[in-house]
Amino acid sequence: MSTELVPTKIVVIHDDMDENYPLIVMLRDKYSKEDVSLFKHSKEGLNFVLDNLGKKMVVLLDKNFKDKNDISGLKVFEKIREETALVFVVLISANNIADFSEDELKILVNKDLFKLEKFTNDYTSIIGLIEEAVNSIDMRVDAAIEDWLMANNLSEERPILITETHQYTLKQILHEIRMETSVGRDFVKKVNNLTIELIMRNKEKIQ
Amino acid sequence: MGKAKQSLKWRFDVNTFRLLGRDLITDRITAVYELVKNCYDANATKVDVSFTDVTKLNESRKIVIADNGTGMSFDDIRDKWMVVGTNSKRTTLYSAPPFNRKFVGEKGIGRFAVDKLGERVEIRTKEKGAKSWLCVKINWDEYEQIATSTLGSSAQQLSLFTEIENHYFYETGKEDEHGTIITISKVAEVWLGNDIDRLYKELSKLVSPFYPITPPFNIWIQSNEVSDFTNRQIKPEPIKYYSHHAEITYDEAENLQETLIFNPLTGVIDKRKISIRKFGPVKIKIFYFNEAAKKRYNAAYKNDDTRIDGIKIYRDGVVTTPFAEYEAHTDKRRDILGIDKRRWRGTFDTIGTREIIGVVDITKEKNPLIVDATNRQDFLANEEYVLLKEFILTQLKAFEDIKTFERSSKRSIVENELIDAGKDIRGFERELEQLATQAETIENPTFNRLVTTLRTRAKETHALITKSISEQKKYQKEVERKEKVLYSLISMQEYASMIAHAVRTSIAKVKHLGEFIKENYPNPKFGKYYSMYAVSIYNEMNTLISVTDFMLSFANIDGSFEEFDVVELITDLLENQYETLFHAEGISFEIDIKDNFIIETNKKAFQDIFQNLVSNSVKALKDTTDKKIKCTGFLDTDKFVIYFSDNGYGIQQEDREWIFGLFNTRTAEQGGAGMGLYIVNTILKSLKGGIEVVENEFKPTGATFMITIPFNK
Amino acid sequence: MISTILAIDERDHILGDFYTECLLDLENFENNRCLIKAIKSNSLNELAISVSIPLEGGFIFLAYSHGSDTELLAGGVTPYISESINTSLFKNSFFYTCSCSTAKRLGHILIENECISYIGYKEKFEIWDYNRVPFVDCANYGYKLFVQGDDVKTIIEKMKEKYDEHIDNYTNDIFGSAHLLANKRALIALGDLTHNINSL
Repeated sequence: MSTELVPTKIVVIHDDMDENYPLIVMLRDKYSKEDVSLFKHSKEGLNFVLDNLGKKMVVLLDKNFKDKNDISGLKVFEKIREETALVFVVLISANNIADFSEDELKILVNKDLFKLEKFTNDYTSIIGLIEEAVNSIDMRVDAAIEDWLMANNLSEERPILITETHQYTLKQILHEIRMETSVGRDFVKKVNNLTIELIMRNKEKIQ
Repeated sequence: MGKAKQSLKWRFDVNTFRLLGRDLITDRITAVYELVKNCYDANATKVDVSFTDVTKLNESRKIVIADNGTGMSFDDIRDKWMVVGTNSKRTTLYSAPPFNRKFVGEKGIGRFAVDKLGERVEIRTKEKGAKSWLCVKINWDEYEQIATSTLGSSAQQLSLFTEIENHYFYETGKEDEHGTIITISKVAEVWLGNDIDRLYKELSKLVSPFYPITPPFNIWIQSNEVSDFTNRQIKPEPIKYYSHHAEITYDEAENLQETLIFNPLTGVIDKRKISIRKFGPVKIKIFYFNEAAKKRYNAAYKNDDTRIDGIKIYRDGVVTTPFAEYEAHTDKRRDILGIDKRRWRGTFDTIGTREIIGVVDITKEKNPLIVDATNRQDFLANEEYVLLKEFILTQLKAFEDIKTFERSSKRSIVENELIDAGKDIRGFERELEQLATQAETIENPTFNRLVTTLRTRAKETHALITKSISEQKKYQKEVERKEKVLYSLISMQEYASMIAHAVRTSIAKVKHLGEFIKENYPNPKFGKYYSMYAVSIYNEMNTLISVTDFMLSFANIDGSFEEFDVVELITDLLENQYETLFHAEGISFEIDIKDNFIIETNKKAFQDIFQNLVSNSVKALKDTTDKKIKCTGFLDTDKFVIYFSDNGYGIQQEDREWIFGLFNTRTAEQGGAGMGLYIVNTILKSLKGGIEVVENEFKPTGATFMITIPFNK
Repeated sequence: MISTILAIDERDHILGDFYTECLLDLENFENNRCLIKAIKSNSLNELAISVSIPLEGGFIFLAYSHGSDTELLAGGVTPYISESINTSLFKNSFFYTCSCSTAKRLGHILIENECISYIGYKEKFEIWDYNRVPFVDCANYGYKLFVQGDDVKTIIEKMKEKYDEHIDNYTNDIFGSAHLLANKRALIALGDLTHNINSL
């Protein structure tokens, strides 16, 4: 269970599970009912993720959708990655991994799929993968930063970071962090440095 | 003293005109047709049928039928046009010379055809020598208003048809002008390009293509919206591309009628002379299109073979066969001579209406007993008409004999070559015999042995060739008699990979359900799930069993072909196999397969198709009160088409393709596993055919599947 | 009386606000002390610089503007102090700047040209504008210490302590602290570290 103030959202996008499915029931038991959302149609699930990009999210994604109106799981993954690298995705498939094409594997690896598993595996292990994802997010500094920035109601329009060449608003900084630009990376680095600095100082104090 | 005589008169209420006009003229093409016939009767040489602004229901829409015939006087209008039920033409048989036309507008109700076309009509008419045009306005819509406004009033209907006033007036004209112009406005229905095209086609059949009339009768169509019909004259199509044709006529003086008979010795159709029949003398021309001819015809006319439409009867140069209403499906066209019905009986060699164009010419004078029935959709079925029908069919028989003859004389190239080889061998054998005889005089044992060997070989070869010829003949015979339907199995690998994903998902579900119980039972926190999951496991396993069965049946298919009668197979299924079930469920069924034939294919596959469809329908009919299942079909040149319908709860528009997917079912509660239609689709794919959901035949709810199975040509 | 020249780009559209506050703080500080001669944005060019530098004696030069490795820039674009222009003019001075990167190269060049000591930043100097006060405080602190008599070595140490003091306040403004830390780490002194106001 996350000890963060803001819990991670778990988004399940899968057309073969319903509200009573064992995996869903156990997920909701572990996290909470509100934090676990289920979508049977890929586009709906994708839209939900894109509407909630400010929040910490783990997505459990099915690779294949039967309804011909639904886009493929891979497409959903790509679309999420166009917007952010910070939503962790666990991909589930009923097929063998050997059945994935070369292109598909490239996309999954290069765009940072968090975990891959077969649908036929125990749901307990699938839930385990989701838990790993949640923990990994909590460990990330930028997630913490995002958290803080989202939690504090600072004016989004006021320039708050003044560098040599540019002024950035909070919104812009968030964007820089998500897009991992040099400005965003520098920002994260500074925070990391501070953290270590403070830890060291406290250590000295203790000593 | 005697009382003064009291009397009552017959009166007609306003609704009468509806009875007369609308229910007898059933469609608007017929309506225009009748009006054009009236122009013919009026000695017109030119008729203009024009359509203005009729593609939309706007104010300016109108249809005008204008002719240059004799026109009508005021008396004519008052005493003939506006008098119901008279056929003044009955007192005279012919129109004025030099036309001498036999009147074709029968029984005086043509004028009510106008009512079918539009709500208002204006008649402008003038005789030669008259000073002015007489114009009469008749507004049916006002009649309607009067009729509906008096509905529900007390028993006495005060508005009588005969008391409604119709406005008339005169307009000056030139003395030598004559003719009648009928303008119909407030046109009831929209006329699009297709509709005018239909009218064109029907009107082109009005006048006999072979025995044209003089003075002429020319019809023109005008449309201000459809470019194809801007000032277009109606001309009958010349008949081309036929493979055979024949013509018979008569000699009244000698009392002789020609008739056709096939000569099996020469392979052609001969004419024989018999005495003129009870129905009177007739002239007939028939054009037959065999398979090759039909192909050429279709290539030339871009597959519009609606013109090859069987036999039409013309009386006095004008068509009389009540033409069938326009039907998109050729199989539904009315066939009053019953030509297509004969094909039911299962012989391959009968000719249908889609293979011939025929013209039968009769006259009112010489064939007076051939008359139209009152409903104008058929001839009066008196003895003379029955005999005429038989006579026409006899002429057709000659062509059918040709068809059979052509089939049987077709020998394959192989067979011919074998026959030639056989002849060669016999020649060879004879020469060897001669050599053998000579060899006896020479004492050369080596030589003798050689000759003996050769003779034995020749004999063997001869026997082989004879056997081959008889095999070839047998094969030829078999191929001619039936249609082959290809059945190709998909490979097990293909099948396995198709099904694998769905099966794995199903198995994963069962596993997860079991895992839950294993991990959590008997934790009361999850109490409500345990029994729910047990049921789910049960259902899912049943589905898996169906899938496995299907997989095994696929593996067991022996690919053997057999011949069977399609109608018999379906009838047997519905009548025998499902008898108990239908009876228990209260389902009534109907089979109507237009063409019967034998096919050679995998019979089991065929049965599976219908079994699955029936099973599906039974589920869909669960809550229907008057349960029906219907199976119809017809034979096309290259495929067999079957319609399978029920009046159950039907299929949603968005599900029309989805239902064929594996495990997709809307009947889960009734035990539907989502296999049935998937199986049907798969089997049909193996037969190179297809299935789709079409508009449901039964209303308001129901489902209709259209199945096509192509022949292997 | 020691001349103190302040080159300040208070109208710069990015850092202008910040520099304005630094100026106010400096004016507050020297209320009773020697006058700082300020060369502001509208006259910030090499001519004004060369004119203001005293012909003899030591002086203090403060530069609050954009900078690069090798130059100090007006409006972020036009060099007003650069090797190619006027680095030789700063003999005998205490050069104190709050600008980006100048310690990398410009600072050394000044020392080579007999500037006595230099305090500046060898990396980017960035402001977290949630709470500007610590940044202004740290930016001006070094000068204040010099005027009070500390030598350069002490000044650096105390400036860093000042930075730490504000950093320790992180619970209120963690990102501000992170940026202060980055600035602190970029802070450096060059030249004669014993230099103090009395030896000018």
